[in-house]
Amino acid sequence: MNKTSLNDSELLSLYIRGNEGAFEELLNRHKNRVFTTIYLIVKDRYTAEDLMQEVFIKVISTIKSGRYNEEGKFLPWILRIAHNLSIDHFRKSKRYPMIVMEDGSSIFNSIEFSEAPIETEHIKQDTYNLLKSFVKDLPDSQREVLIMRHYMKMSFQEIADATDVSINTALGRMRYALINLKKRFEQTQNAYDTNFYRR
Amino acid sequence: MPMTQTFTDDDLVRYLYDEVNEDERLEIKESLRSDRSLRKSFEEMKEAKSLLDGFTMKAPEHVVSRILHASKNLQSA
Repeated sequence: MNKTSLNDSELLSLYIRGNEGAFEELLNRHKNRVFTTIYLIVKDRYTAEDLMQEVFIKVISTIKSGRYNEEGKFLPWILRIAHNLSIDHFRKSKRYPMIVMEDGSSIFNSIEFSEAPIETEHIKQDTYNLLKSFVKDLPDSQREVLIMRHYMKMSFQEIADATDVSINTALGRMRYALINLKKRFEQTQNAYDTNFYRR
Repeated sequence: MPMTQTFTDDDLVRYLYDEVNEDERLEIKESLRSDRSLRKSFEEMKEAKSLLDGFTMKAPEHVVSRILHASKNLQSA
């Protein structure tokens, strides 16, 4: 059976009946999105790894105990769990750990990125390293909306309801998040140009 | 006679993320076509969104292995 051609609901049905290969396909299908969501909230690689494991242990336990009842909305369910656990952790820790390796480089340099459809590897890596740092630097309220809309695919009304603000506030936060990201890239590009052309 | 703009900058965000109805879509599309300043604002947001579209981080394989191992070891009810 070719599991890659099955949708999430079909794989889930197989998994509930004991097919571990179906779970492996589900996990591989969604692991990067879940990890990215967690990481952008907690902003620390090791914490994100621990939380990702915690999220999926919770998912596995719920499914295997017969308590799963999301009526086919598997990915949104997992992302909600990931978001809630990450937010809980972030609020408890209330800090932004920066892990530095022995040679002084950041641990974040070793994080691998998924395939992206642009330019050369070198440019791609630089771009996404910058993007990662800029997203992390966003104000919490803007980053939260950005993660919920862009990675968790929640609607702006759902985000407004979840964060207890008006939809206009949610939209405004998203607008400023996008504008801020663009501005940071422009500033970085201007700095590169200045250095390149300096005599 | 210039068209009266009835939408806000926040509506552009809804348009960007495809959360507008057909009437709104047509109105915004027309305004973007004729208003250079508005188009510039929209393009900036669109560029940022495009970067985000390509950005996902790779889940570490050792975490994936641990999860798969946990699933195999947990008995169903």
